[in-house]
Amino acid sequence: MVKRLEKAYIYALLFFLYAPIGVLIVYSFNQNKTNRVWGGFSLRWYIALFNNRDIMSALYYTLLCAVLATIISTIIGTFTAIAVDSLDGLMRVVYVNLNYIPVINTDIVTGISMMLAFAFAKIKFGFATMLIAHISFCIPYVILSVLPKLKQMDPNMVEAALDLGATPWQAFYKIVLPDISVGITTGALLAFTLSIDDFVISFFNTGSGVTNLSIYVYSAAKKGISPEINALSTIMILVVTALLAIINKRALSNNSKRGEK
Amino acid sequence: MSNTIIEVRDLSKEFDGEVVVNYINFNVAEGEFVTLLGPSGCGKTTILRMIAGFETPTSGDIYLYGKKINDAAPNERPVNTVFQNYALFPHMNVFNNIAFSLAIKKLPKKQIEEKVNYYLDVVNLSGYGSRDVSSLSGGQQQRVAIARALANEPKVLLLDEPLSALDLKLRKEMQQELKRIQKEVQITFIYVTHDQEEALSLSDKIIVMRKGEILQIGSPIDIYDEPINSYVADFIGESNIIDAVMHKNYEVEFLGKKFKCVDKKFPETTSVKVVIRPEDIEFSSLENAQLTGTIISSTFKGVHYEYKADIGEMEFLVQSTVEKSPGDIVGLSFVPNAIHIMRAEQRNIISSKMKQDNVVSFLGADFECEHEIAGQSQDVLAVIKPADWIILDKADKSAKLEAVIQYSSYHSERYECVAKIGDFTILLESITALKPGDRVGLDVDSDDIMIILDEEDLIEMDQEMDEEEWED
Amino acid sequence: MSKKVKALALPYGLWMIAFTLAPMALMAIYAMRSSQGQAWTFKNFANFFSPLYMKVLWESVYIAIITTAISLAIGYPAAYFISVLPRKQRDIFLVLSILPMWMNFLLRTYSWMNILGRNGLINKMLSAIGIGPVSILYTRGAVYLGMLYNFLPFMIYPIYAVLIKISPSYLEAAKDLGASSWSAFWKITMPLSMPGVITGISMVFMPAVSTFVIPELLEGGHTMYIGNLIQHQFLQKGDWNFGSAISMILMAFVLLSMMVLNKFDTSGSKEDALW
Repeated sequence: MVKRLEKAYIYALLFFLYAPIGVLIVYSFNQNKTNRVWGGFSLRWYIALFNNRDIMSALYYTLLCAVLATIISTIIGTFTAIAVDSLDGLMRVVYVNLNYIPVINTDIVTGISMMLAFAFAKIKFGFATMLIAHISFCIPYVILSVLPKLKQMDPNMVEAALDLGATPWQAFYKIVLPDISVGITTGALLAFTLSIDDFVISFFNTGSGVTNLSIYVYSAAKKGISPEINALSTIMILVVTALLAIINKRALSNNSKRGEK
Repeated sequence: MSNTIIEVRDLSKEFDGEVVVNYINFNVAEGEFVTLLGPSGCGKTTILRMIAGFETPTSGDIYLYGKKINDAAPNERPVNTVFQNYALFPHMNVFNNIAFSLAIKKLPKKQIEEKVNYYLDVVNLSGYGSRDVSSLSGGQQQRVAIARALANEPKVLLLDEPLSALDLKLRKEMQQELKRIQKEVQITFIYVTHDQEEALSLSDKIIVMRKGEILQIGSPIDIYDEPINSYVADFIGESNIIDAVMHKNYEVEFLGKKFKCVDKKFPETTSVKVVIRPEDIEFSSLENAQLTGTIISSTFKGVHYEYKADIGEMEFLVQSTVEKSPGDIVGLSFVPNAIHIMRAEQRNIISSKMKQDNVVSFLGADFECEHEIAGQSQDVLAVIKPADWIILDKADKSAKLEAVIQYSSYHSERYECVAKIGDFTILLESITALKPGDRVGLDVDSDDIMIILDEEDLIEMDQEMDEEEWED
Repeated sequence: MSKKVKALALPYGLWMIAFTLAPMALMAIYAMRSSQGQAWTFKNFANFFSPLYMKVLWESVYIAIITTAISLAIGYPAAYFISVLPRKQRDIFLVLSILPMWMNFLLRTYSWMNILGRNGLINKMLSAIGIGPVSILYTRGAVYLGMLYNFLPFMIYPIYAVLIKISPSYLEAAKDLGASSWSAFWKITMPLSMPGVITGISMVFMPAVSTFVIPELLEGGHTMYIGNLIQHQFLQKGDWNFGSAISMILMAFVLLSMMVLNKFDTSGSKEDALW
């Protein structure tokens, strides 16, 4: 009985979370232009989507920025985490705390302070400034994902590798990297999500015709949104779901391999 | 002995100014099973890590086949380590763990396979290659760790408390295994442990350590039968330690009686300590007994009983298969061979005067010390350990005292000397050879001079020291 | 070798100086400069403490507190119910509950405009039973709904992460000592999950107090919140000095609330951990 109540609660919650998405998906197949009336099934908005230059450009910048920011912040973040793990005393405290600033600060403060800096240095606003801003707020999350894994790592492991003839570099990529790979993947996923999802920081740090999806939707929403956005949302949620399903399946099969004795 | 493989010379290591390893010297011969034995924190693991190359010595040298290896990286040393927690790579299976060093060397696949299988066989794990390391028991992981280190075919295998994570039964079993493996692969083993029983049953040579210093080096039998001092005696097994006096060769006096023994009198020393192992004491009829006492407690230990007997001035530990009950009056006897004579811990006790705060004067010279004066000047005793003298060349101007060596003998890698400063006799220890007639200059560091008011302070301090050590 | 490893921290150190510290310093300098002329002044800060702007701050804090409270009330049971499910189901429900986060934040907010609007789904259903149309979009209620929708997963996940780490043996011990399921929950699970609750609260409160997008889209921008005020100063009025001062005040306010919040966290060191 209680079990059922609990499940009902979770299902109700999921309904709340998915209803708006469901509505978007349904409307994306609507023949009519407005979301008011169901005019029959159609793929016209999907075709229109791919012909909409503005949306395509926004999508391009969003993905390009997310991919680059993820790669760069994952590399910098991982190496920094390794270095910070070997630091002690004051330097460690300084690094760990400075690293927290972008995490603790609200987006609007982070975004505006960077905008001030770029304006002050007379750097032209555009894709580069947006990318730098994204990398800046992604690195802390990568570091925070990798650092605990390094801490858990047995320090003898590296010593054992060196002892068995590995060079420091071999010890790093044969032993350390596989051991902290879960942390790195988590960090990279977080970075990608944060980048895709960001509006506020991008909004203040972009310029000269570079618009990402968030900014596009923000300005369109005030004027009234064209139904192509429904189609885009549908595609995005399906791609993400598929990706997650693949990752999860891999994680599950790894787990079961580990579990067998 | 055969060829020396490792030489450790004047090796010291400090961490943040704290001396962990203090001026250590020893040799390891090829094929030997050497154990560094001591309580935790005595510096034994640090020595091992310096040999492996994980720590750099603060001073001193390590030689391998006569070649200095201080600055060689761990991956450049033909030395491998079996870690206390095994440090198996969790993302590799058993085979790949053992093959790690071979793959680094880029050996052909077939050769790797042959070697891995050979060492799997050596550690009795044939057929376990494809297993995940996390699915193995502690003992099996231990074997993989050994096989992994052996597969690199090191000249020396270093083992850092390898059995400490195993339960008692497995530990005994692995002791046998280690001995067998060492015979089979014929590699030099340097083994670190705090377990004296492990050390006694495995080693060719034991190095007993305390607080960063070597107390004694010897075969298990030497160390058990002829412990150099009461600390080693107590650490290496249960024992009865008694203050005694030796006035002449082959006779020792303790507990108010004279006993025959097999040792000669030490030159310049009459005060000694006697060690009698509890298993060397037998119950005998009261008239034939060397000592009599009353049983105060009895514990059954499986193969024998362990008794505490009150013999008046102290309690005696006795092991016997004969059953007695508390309250029984018993005679105790032992053969001369069972009496092991040790020199009592040696110290120079010198009458001195405190001249002012932190300045003490003795034997005609002033020394800095850490003691505050009570009153104008004060008669005190300065206590200095033989090893704490700083020995300088006789021409050295900074020397405060000049001593003439009277007698010198070599003990476990150091020279113990009797010397005269004017008419006053002192004991000193030297790492370099000194012979009778040599003149040396002497100085002492301020923190190596202990100031006491009378000799009773010393006894009190010793007792405190002992208690402190047992807390380790 | 360890020196070389430590040197790896250098690039990011420089990066932080250029893109974190320098911008913050610059903002502080702007905040202390007069908008006319180059004099140093605290006037920008003083200006904020007028009844007009205090009301803005209060409105922001008010909606943030309400949003956080609702998120906690809904999110805690959700996290708890998910955490007690069998492992496989647990993983699936957790992923499902945070999956919408992977869709862009603006798209998520936009989807609610579709539902709440005058011609939206809800009004259509209401009119089918003869009620309405009622205005839902462009009300305070819509803002709460939008914020709850966007920030709820930030509450669920940290609480869940702490809950699944609580060893079941504590609960067994409590029951063994005579506690009912209900009192075991209140006396054991609840206090032990506090670190997660505190993380959740700060992760919802922070974006809620500074948001300007959600009110603009779902409330039509007719109430001014602190986020809107900052954006307004920078992008419409061009008063960077006052805008910087408000940003500094917001930052100080957030830091202060985090510190107060962390006082309640008795779980000790979480020095390097994210959650």
